[in-house]
This record gives sequence, structure tokens and C-alpha cells, in this order.
Amino acid sequence: MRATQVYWSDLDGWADDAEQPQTADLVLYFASRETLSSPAHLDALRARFPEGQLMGCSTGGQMGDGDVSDDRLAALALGFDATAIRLAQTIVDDPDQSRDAGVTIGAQLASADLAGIFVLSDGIHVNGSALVDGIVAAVGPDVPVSGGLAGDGSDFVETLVACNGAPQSRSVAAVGFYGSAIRFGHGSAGGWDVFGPKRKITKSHGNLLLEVDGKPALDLYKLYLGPEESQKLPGSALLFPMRISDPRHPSRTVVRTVLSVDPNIGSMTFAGDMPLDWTAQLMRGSFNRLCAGAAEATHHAVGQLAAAPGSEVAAILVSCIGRRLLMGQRIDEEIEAATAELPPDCQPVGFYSYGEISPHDGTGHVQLHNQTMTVTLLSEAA
Amino acid sequence: MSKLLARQVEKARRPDGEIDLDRLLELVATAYDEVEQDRERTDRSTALMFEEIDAFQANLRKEITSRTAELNQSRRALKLQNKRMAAAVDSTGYAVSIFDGAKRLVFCNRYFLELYHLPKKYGRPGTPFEDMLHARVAANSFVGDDPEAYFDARNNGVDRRAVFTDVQRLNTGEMVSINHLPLPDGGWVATHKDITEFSRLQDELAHRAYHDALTGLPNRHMLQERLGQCVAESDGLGSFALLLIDLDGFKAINDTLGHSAGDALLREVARRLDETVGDAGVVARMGGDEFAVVMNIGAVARDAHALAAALLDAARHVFMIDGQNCEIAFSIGVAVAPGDGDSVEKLLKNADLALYAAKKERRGGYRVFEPAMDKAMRDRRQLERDLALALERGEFELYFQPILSLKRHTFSGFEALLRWHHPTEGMISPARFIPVAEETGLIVPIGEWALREAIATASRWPSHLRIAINVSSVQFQRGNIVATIMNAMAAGNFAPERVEIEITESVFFENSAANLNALRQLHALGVKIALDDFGTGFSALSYLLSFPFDKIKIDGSFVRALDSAAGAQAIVRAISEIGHRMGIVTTAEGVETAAQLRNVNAAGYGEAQGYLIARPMPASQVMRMLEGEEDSMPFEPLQRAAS
Repeated sequence: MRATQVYWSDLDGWADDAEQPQTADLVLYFASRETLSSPAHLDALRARFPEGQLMGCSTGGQMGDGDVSDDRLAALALGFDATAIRLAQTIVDDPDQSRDAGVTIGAQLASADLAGIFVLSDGIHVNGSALVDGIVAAVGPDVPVSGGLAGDGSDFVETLVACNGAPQSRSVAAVGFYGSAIRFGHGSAGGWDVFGPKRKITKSHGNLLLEVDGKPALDLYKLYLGPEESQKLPGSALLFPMRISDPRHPSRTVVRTVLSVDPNIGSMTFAGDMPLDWTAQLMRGSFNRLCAGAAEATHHAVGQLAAAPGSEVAAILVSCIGRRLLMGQRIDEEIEAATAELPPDCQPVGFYSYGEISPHDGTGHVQLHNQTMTVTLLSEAA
Repeated sequence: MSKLLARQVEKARRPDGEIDLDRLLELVATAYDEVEQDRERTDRSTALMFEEIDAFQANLRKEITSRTAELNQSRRALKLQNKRMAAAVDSTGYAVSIFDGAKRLVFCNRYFLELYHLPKKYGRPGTPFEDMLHARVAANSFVGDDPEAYFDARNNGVDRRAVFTDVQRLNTGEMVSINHLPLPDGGWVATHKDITEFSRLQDELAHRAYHDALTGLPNRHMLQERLGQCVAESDGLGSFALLLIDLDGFKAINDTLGHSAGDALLREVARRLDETVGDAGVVARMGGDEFAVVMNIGAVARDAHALAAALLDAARHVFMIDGQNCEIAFSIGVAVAPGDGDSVEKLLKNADLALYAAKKERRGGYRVFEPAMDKAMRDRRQLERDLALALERGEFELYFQPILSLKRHTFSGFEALLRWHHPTEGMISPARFIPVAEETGLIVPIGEWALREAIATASRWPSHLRIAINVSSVQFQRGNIVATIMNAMAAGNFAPERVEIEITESVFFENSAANLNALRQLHALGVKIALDDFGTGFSALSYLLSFPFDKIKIDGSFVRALDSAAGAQAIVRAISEIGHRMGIVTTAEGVETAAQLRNVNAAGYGEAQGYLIARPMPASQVMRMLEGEEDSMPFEPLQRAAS
């Protein structure tokens, strides 16, 4: 397998000034909504990778070259020696169809030799948990699925996903990897710490949270954010993710992040289900703990990959926009911490997302994560 | 240089390699802002978190206070409820204990502890059943003399897990009734009732049902059972006897000395009877002044005779009641099984017949049953039935016997005499049916008829003739004799002075005060009162003092005896003398011979009656005689007597 990290901007073109077309089977790319809104990026990609299948999405910042950028497009071009790939795409008109969309994607990719899936989804109009449920239902629990929900900076207005064409809103795209040669390594960790009292979800509908402890959920967030940061909702709500758990299984915790708010009815839309009567607790992050989380996720993925010595490894990082909002300029330290865990010549590419998809570190069950750094490692057996 | 600053310097480097100072400063300033913002955010969330936790804690405290108050309220309510429950349980009067499946006390009320004489501490919930049993042994409130056997019995009772009831006598004396009911949790609830008093009352009631309260002797009920036993045991082969004893003269004592004296007399009689009978049989009081003895199986007729004689003897000793001598006698009827009866009913009936016979005969005697008594009794019953119908069938008729005035040598009046024409037996003697009429009470309507009839008849006679009518003492007791006589006189528009009521001394035996009062009322109206059959019976001279009789009629037996008995002359003369001295007219009855007439005339009698003068005759004959059609001269015998 050959992996190449390339960067492009409308103003400067390809960062490496390459002008010759290049061979690649799959090109995964990440850029701002603004960049994706212009067809220039697609022309540049097609010109450089004429044979490659293209799949990409809008983000809350692109990772690459040990840095985070809002301007340039970051891409990972992959050439396989013994692995087949297939792309699938579907449109989700209503968040309630999220699970069906997952089933559709899974059905398109399902095959006896399907070894793994990487998925990119609209980050606002899709219920990530339901989508993952649908995919798993279609392909079975043994196929690892990773990826993320597209971002829109801290604006939360529109997210775009592209699959061999112009990026679209309300779109889900996925690539399946087939054969026995492909190797995966997955890792996922948050590094957020719970604080404050345990609360109870007293009114909710799907991923719509209305009340906590009998009071409007939005009021709780406004209280904690303070008047200034409340102005920056819903983005600022990412500073306080929520950890929820079924009171019958208190150890099985899931972290949820806010996607949008409705100030009129005081409701908040989360990236996954907020079941009634579940326990909820606010979380907050510290720079060091988040960096440690990023390192831990990467370490786990590397340990799982078990790549053949000397074989090339590609790394895709999907991290939560909330982490970036919290860490500000020091977000580079997260990437630095993750990169330090990777093999010496492996340069990661990735993006800041509205939701991360990865198998759970402990159980292996594929699920939607929030506020985490997830790591997907790819390699082929020699 | 810090990593961040190094990165910031790199980011501020222009393409020409120089540092863009403005850009660098902007990055550094932003970094400061970011750190400051993060610190503020952390501070804010920490402060809020504590606020929230404080509020939460305050809420919790409030909740605890309110819940504690609720809990205390519930506890008080529960305590009250428990008290009410205990009161409710106590109000049943039962001792109650409830144990759980581990044989530990759940609840018991204070009666339970009291009943078993247990110290209060054993009423504490949780007290093991075994401890309770040991405490009962210590308090001696257990059953039997072997504690181990008692433990086993109680534990077995509980372990059977069945409903049962039991009555136990505790060593402390109480009788306890226990109801045991197993509970689903393996425990049980037991109710205990102290039935000591109840049991005693039950025994007493049973005793009362079979014993006479006054004398303590077995009563009629028990006597009948005893008789039944004897009948069953002898099986018609063995001999035993029944003696029925009736007191003669008891009623007079009861009337004169009062009921308490009567009761005392009955107790003494009971004692003597019991003493005399001893082991020979059972003495019972049948009621009133009637007693009975059932002689044991093996007693034959000879033994019964001996016992009857001994009993009569026992009555002969004077009874001292309230310091007064009371003389009574026993009349005894004897029936000997199996000959005189092979059933309780028959024996009682036959002994009763014998008693009836004895009483009729004489005071203080006994009779053994004879089959003829049965016949006599059946005849009598028939007579009673016929007598009851005789009045409405018009079988009675009045005969009238003239009364001769020895002074004026004319008839002064007639005595009305009752005759009964029986449809099959013909004429029945008053001597036979009057006692029956008196005993049955039929004498009241019959006597009333006779009064009306006699006065109605006499009202057709000349006004100088009087009508003498016999009135029984029973009529005094049971009827309203004054009203009856007044009504009869009014109906016949008859002058009271022409009516002569003949009574016997028996009128003074019972209710003498009331009877005397009636006599006085009649006397006040002008009705004449005559003392009949004088000289027989008791003939106490005191009777003559108790009422101002208009006439004394000397019994015919004395008149008839004038011919033979020497003493008769003296008696006849003496009575005449008494009458003369007291200003009372004397009448001699039963004059049948001229000699007798001469004699009574000589003795100074005012009037004479008898066959010599005239036999009793129907009313029609009286009329014919009065109208001169009948050749009946009252003077002829007198003249013969005089000659």
C-alpha cells in the first residue's frame, strides 16, 4: 500500500507544486465548506488523481503536516496492492431516516470479503447513532466501521459530503475495503472529565433533549457558559459535552455533543440519542487531559493494527470540533501527541468533526462517539 | 522557548524567512486570551458546580427534614394504630398471641401475659416460643406435672400446622380454651380464653338442671332419668320400686305460717326423707310438696312396704319450723317394677294412682298399686268427661226436700238437691259426682245453674217458703259466689231473706279470710247462712265464733245413731243447747223414724228434715203439693211422733 498526504488551496494550488498526474485508488479529502463550495478543488483533485475514487467532506479544520488549517484542503491518496474498494452514497432527507440510510449504505457495501468501512456523513441532518446502527445491522457486527460526521467550522449551518462528484448537503458516503490483505487499527479516547451533579433526562425525543431534572436543558448550558459564550451557541456548547448512561448499566457510558439548539423551546439537538430517564452529567476538558486522550487513542490503534514490519501505514484522525474550540491555538499539541504514537514515517491526515465513528476500545462495538479523538490506521499485509 | 511560542514564530514567518512581528504578537495575544478564557470558564463551572451542589444539598436537607417529619408522623400513627389494635384485641376479652415462622413472638396482648402469669418482658416481640414455655413452667401456668412432656405436646401442636381447639386446665387452676390457627408464614395465631368461670357456671347449670334449688335433691328430670336407667338395667327382670310421696297438711302451713316457713318445712322433709332412704335409693323432689324415691334394683315389694312404713314413721315426729310445731303426714303411693310397670311413664302413672288412692283413704298412709286402681281411675276419667257434658245436655235436675218447722208445724222451706240423670248409667248419686265436680272445678258452672234454677223455682212458691241451697267451698274459691247469688235473686225477683246458703266447714280451710268476707257480704244482703253437716269432720267450735251463722244443721248420722248409740243423745242435745244459747236455729237432718223425730223435737231443734217427713221431690211435685193436689201431710208424722 502506498499513502500520500497532499495539500491544496485555491490560491496556492498544490503545496508540493506537483503537476504530473498521480496514481491512486482512493483519495480521501477534507476541506472547509467554503473550499468545497467552489468546483476548483474538484478539478484539481481530478487532474492530479485521474483514476482515483474521490470521497470527502467539509470540516471544522483539517489536520495535516502536524498542523491544523482552515484554509487548505488536506487529502490522503491511497494505492492498494491486494485490496479492492467500493464506494457507496445515499441522501438523508429527514434525520428520522438515518437508520434506513445506514442500512442502505451497508447493503450497498455488504459482501463476504468486506473487511472494513470508512464512512463520512452529513453532520447536522443525520442522527449519527442511528446511521451506525443501520450500517452494523446490514453488514454485521464483525465488520469494523470508522469515520466521522462532516463539520462546518463552529457555524453549524451546513455540512457537505462528496462521493466522486460535487459535495452535497444531507449526504452520506462510505468506502468498503475488501480482501484479506487489508489491516485496520482503531482507537478512540476523549480525555474529558465529568463534573457537577448527576442529572436525569426528564424529557427527550430521539436525539432532541428538552429537559434535565425537570428544567429546560438549554438553561443549564447557558448558566454554565455564561452570557458571553452563550452568544456563541450552539458551537460553545461543545465546551461542555454530556456523558450519559442507562441507570441499569451505569458503567456503559456514552459521550454526547450538541449539534444545534432551539432557543424558542429551549431544546438542544445532540449527535446521538438522549434516552429518557438516563443519567446525564456535564463534562469539561483540560489541555493536558485532552492531549493524553489523543495519545491514548492512537496508542490503542497502533497496538490493534499489528502491521507487518516495514509496511507502510496510513493514519486518518477524526477529532471533535469541541476539542479544538477548547484548546484554541494549542490544538496542535493534540496532533503532536497523536503523531508521537505513530510509526516514525507515518504522517496523519484528518479533520475536526461533528461526531466520530469508531469501534469501542473495550467492546469493539461500532458506535458514534462525541468529543473524542478517533484514529483509523490502514495497512496491507506484505 | 515554549513549544507554542516556537509554533507561533513559525506561523509568523514570512516567505522570505523574516518574522512578521505584528502577526506574531497577534498570535501571542490570542493565546493569552484563550488561556484567560479557559481559566474563566473553569472557574465559572467550578463555582456553578459548587452552587449546584450546595443547592442540591440544601434540597436534600430539606427533603430529609420533611421525610423525617413524615416518618415521625407515620411512626406516631403506627404507634397509635398498634395501641388501637391492642385495645381492639383486648376488647374481645381473649388472650391473643401471634408467633412467626421462626417461633418468635410477633404480638401478644396483656391478657395473654396475665392469663399465664408471665412477667411483662415476655410480651416483647421476638421472644422465642421456647422461652415462653419455660417461663410458663416457672410460673406453674402449664399443664400436667412433666415439663418435658408439656414442651413436647405444645411443640407438636404447633408443628402439626393444623387448626385445632383445645381446653386445658392449668396447674394454676384456670380452665383455658385455646384456638390455634397456623399462618402462611409458618407462624400461628392463638386465642386463649379463660373459661374457668364459664366452666363453673356450666357445671352449676348442669347441676341445676338436675337438682331442686330449694332442697338440693335431684329434681323430677333427674328422677325420670334414674328411673329410665333402672328400667334399662333391670331389663324387665330385676325388681325395683318407685315411691311417690305427697305431704298432707302442707298447704295449710304454707298459708298460715308463710312461704319461708313452707320452704323450711320442705327442706326438713327432704332431709328426713334422704336420711330415711339412705343407700336404698334416690330421693327426688318432684315439685311443690311432692317427693319421690326410686329404690335400687333388687328392692322387692317387701322392701318397698318397709321403706314406706319407715317414711310414714319419719313424718310422725313433730316438725319444728320457726319455733312452731307443724304436724304433717305423708301419703305414699308405691309401684314395684316390673310388675307394676315396665316403663318410666307406666311406673310414674301407677305410683300416682296408688298415691291418689292413699290420699283418698286417710291421712298418713300408703298404698301399693293395684290394677283395680287403674280401672277406678279410668271410670273416674269417664265420669269427668260425662260430667263436663251433662250441663249442656240438660241432664241435671233439682229435687226439693221439705224442711219442717217443729215450732209452727208447717214447712218453712225446701232444700234444693242436685240429681244427675246419666244417659246410660241412669241416676248417679251426688255423693259420687259432686266430689268429681269439685275436683275438676265443674262445680262452679253446675252450682251456678243450680242456684239460678232453685231460686227460679222457689220464686213460684208462696212467699213464706224459703229455699236452701248447698254451696261448695270450691264455688267460693273459684267462682264469684256473691255475684252469682245476687244475679240469681235478681233474675227471679227473689227476696234475699228467703235464700238460705248451706256451707260446710271446708269453706274455712282455704282462703278463709276471703270466704268469710263473701259470707258477710251475703249476710248483709239478708241471705241466711247455714252450717251444714255439723258434728262430722273437724267441727271445730271456733267456726261458730268466726261467723254469725243463722242455722246449724246437725249431721244425719247423729240422728240415725239416736236409736243405737247411747252417746248420740248427748251430742244431739248438746248441739241443740249450743244453738239455743247462741240464738242459732238448729236443724236435724236424716230423720227417718218417729222416735228420732220425737227425740230431736224433745231436744229442742227448730227444724227437721228426712224421709219420715218427705223424700226429695221434683219441682212439679212440690207445686202439686203446695197446691194441695198432693196428699202429703207434714203434720201426720209429727202427730205420730207426738203420740
